[in-house]
Amino acid sequence: MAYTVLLVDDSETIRLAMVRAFGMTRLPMDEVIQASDGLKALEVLRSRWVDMVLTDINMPNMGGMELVRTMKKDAELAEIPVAVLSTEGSKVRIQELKDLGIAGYLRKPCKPEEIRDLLHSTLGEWS
Amino acid sequence: MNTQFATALREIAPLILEETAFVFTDDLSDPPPGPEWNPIGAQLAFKGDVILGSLRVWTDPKFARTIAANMLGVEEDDPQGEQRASDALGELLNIVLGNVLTRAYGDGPVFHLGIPTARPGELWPTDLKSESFWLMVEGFPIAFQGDE
Repeated sequence: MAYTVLLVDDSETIRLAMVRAFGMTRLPMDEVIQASDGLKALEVLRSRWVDMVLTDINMPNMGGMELVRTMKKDAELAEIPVAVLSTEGSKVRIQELKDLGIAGYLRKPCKPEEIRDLLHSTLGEWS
Repeated sequence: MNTQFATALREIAPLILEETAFVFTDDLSDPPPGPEWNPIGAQLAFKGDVILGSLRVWTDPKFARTIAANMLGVEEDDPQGEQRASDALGELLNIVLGNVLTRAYGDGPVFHLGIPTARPGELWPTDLKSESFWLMVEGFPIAFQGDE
């Protein structure tokens, strides 16, 4: 089974670097869809199936916290696993994200193997 | 820069450059002498319960292209490096600042970070000596300047 991941970050450099990192993990990826903020991510989520969302926090228009809150309130989106990739280091903020129901958290900068482990734990086992 | 912030910046910035852009740095105690440069920069504001301010980074446009190319995993002369130099510099600043704030003030406080904005070279301040932190990377100077 191959997976479709929605990658949400306002930095195109980070999105492209993450796509490259996904390739290095050798995970079965069907597609990595990119969105530059939470609003654009919601547009994608309401029109496409995705297996997982990986989002930044600080973004213009709609940030990652609001994206997660919006998804968790929407019955059609609430079950989609969301992981967060951010520079955030505050325990309070990370706990807030966990309380919202995120599937995982990675702090920038991170290594490809950390991304692999996050996707693995979020999406489940594969061979 | 206050001592806490400056110390954290000196510890964190070289590590982030190494982990994110795959480059190694040397400390510069003073701004490098020589001809005027025309740097590009990025600025990022932050706000917390007890402190607010901003961090700026300045470097040579050629090195900004190197940062972008290395982050993207493309050759230095790849057009993507030039196209994304400013974005890459802003994201580098974002990663540095997020980690510096945690190093300086611990993981208790909540900080709100803004969105990195580009700083054109003409905004380069003429006297950074007392409030900036300089590194030399692959022959290019890079300066961090904090206000908090």
